[in-house]
Amino acid sequence: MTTHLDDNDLSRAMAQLPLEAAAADHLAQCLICRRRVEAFGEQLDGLRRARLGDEPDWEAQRLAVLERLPPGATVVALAPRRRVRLLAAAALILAALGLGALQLSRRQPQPTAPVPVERILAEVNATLDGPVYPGFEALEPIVPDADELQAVINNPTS
Amino acid sequence: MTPTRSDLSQVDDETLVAAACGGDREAFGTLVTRYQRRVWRVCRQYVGADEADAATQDALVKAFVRLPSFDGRAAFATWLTRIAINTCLDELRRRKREGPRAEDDDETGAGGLAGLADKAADPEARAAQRQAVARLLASESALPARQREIFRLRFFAELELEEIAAALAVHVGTVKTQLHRAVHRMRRELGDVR
Repeated sequence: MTTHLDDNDLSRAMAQLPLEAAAADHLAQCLICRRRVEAFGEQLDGLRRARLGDEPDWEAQRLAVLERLPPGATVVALAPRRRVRLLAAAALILAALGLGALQLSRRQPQPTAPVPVERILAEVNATLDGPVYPGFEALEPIVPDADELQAVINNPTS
Repeated sequence: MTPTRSDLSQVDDETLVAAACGGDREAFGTLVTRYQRRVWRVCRQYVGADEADAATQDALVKAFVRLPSFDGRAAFATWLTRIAINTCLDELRRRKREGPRAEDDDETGAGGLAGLADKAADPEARAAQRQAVARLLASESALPARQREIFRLRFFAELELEEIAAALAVHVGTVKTQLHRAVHRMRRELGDVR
């Protein structure tokens, strides 16, 4: 007695899905099972033809698509993966700059050799004796002259 | 020297995509020629015969505009199929907002069945064949939405299992299971299951 494919295996074969080796072997040898699978396939072909119906004019469709394309090259937008790579690179650069700045701010000022007081005084005197240092000219005399002082003393209410 | 259309037909998808991104319309035209049948067959399953051509054009124009975002992780055909499906789903949502229309019926009517190019010569056999296909059509139309979608993409749009999985963003095992269930269910409807 021949054991034919069970309904599950038949459905699997009709759906054109892979079968287990034993079922595939049986299908290859059994005319009855093969005929059932082929009959379903033929009905499916008929349904496909009915469903697809008439195809459009492919060349006309192609031309219509090309006519509808926006002018010029497509808008160059970065692909997501490239965008992520660029963002990662930018983040690395920023992180490196931040670390550098942190290092600089932590760096202690180098000790300098003390300058003798005499040298400082000499430099100050030289500056004061020289022409007026730009930016330090008094706009008005700070100390009033003697006549003004006398006038204030004589008439304190003025 | 500018390559001719026949030269471009030998060029691989990736090269054509790069050229089309740079504004080469002839390169994109070659991609259209290569994939328009596939896109139309997919669209046909979602929006019906009347709208399939328009949906195909929309999907191909969208693909051109979005070419720079194609990163090559999936095959160009798969990427394009996903755009086609999304275009159709947008169209279906738009229709739903606007209310149902008589021609929204996505089933093949009697006219479609009558137009079958039957292999059987005698009228009786032809009638029997039509009846069998009509019954199959009825059982297919009664499938749950997801099973029907996968069934149609496999047998009418003729996509490979892996392509369906990628286009619908599901595991290929899910596609196999749904397909098996769909066929089993249809056979039961037809009284073919013992």
